[in-house]
Amino acid sequence: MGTGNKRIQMPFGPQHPVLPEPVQLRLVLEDEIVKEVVPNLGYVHRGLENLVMKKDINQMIYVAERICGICSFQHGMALSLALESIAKTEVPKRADYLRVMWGELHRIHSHLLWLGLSVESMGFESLFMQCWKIREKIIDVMEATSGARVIISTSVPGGVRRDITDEQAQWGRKLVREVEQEVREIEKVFFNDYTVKARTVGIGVLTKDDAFNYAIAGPMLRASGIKQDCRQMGYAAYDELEWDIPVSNDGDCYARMIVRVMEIYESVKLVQQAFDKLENSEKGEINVKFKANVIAGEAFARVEQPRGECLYYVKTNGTKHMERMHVRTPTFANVPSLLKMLPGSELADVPVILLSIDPCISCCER
Amino acid sequence: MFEMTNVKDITVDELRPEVQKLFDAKYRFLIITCIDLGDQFEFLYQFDMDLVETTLRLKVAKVNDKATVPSISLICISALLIENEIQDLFGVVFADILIDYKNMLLKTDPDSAPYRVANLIVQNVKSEKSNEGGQA
Repeated sequence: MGTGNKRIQMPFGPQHPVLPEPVQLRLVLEDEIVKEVVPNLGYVHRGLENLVMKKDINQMIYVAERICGICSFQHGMALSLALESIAKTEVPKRADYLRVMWGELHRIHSHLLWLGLSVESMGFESLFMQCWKIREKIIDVMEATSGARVIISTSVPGGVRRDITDEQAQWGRKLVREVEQEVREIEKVFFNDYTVKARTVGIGVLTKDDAFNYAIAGPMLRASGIKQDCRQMGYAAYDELEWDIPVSNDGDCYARMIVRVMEIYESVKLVQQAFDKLENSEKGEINVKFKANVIAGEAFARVEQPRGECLYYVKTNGTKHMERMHVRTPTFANVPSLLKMLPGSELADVPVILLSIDPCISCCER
Repeated sequence: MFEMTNVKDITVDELRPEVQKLFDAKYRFLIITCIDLGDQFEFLYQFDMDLVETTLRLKVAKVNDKATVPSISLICISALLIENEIQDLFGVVFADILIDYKNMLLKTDPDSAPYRVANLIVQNVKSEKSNEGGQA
């Protein structure tokens, strides 16, 4: 290194201490500065969309949930919404509140997981453990309400599979409030710490125009000044609940971190409102009968996952098998933005920038 | 809520001009979906404007079991990954992709095209036969 303008190629991954997931960045460096990058995926592609030929519609809900563990509920919900749209099925209101509750619990635990991993890449081992400790409470709520800790498999076409009791709603509300308080205690590190700022402010900048040109999604999009969130479409019960969309105009790694922290608070607000609605509404139906062999048609469902908008294109032909199911996960949309963010950055910043997109390779290798 | 409403049928020649028009009008690229219809491929190019999507539907006939489509990655750079993925899974050729992985994105055999319906049927028959053998 350090020999003038000599360029070297350096593989970053697919096995790397910072990112134990199978993705590779082929970096071209000039001294310590990244000049070019080519992201390389496909090491563990599973061909899950292909299973529509073998699995019926109800079985495909389980497959969809296994595209990604962290946002599994939203995958199942997105496919359910697409099928319900084709069959013109209206789900019971209580099911909508339950979908909001589980969806936002997933968002909180995903953001806490990411915040932990992100600060760990900067050397904050104890903060990483603190984030994951707080996350455990969310996982406990999911376990108590659904019977499973991560892949909860509660969304089905026509509604949800399980209901919750008033006691569970009260207990869950208390735990979520504790989570909010604990996040507020550690937020000052994310917001103000010298090292965090030194590693993130002005690093990996995407302007508003870049965000549009690279078609990025989710917190990354909002951290670049575009106030867009698929929940604004009002699926499930989002149109009746009060919440805000955190936005930043800085477009750097720091802005992405702040947006995710603020989104935790918004999700807490949504979960609390969902618990209120569930407690105060009449206990009744949580799903309606849904025939597996829905009529022929096509739909394009969009839901906001923790990492951004997830799109499900579904085409049915009146049999119990779908003709085509295509999923665009948020990470798949965000990976091309590395072509813009990494050139010009220092090698030491590559892990921080890569982690700032909250990469989920499981989502890409669907 | 999720019905596909704004759908416009286009030809191969119209693809790039239509995409350029949407891009210039600040439509955000979402995704390309490829569907194997047997004798032709159907491509759905989806764009978003204020959470309302617009779809361009393109049908391309197979010639000698192959099809070539112009890449839109020079207009929408974010299309490069999905175009490479479709190349690997369906055996479609996208002309002039910004970064052409040449079937090395998913590391598939260029002729295997695992998502083609014809190949799926062959795989299913094979797996059924192997199951029968196992039971015997």
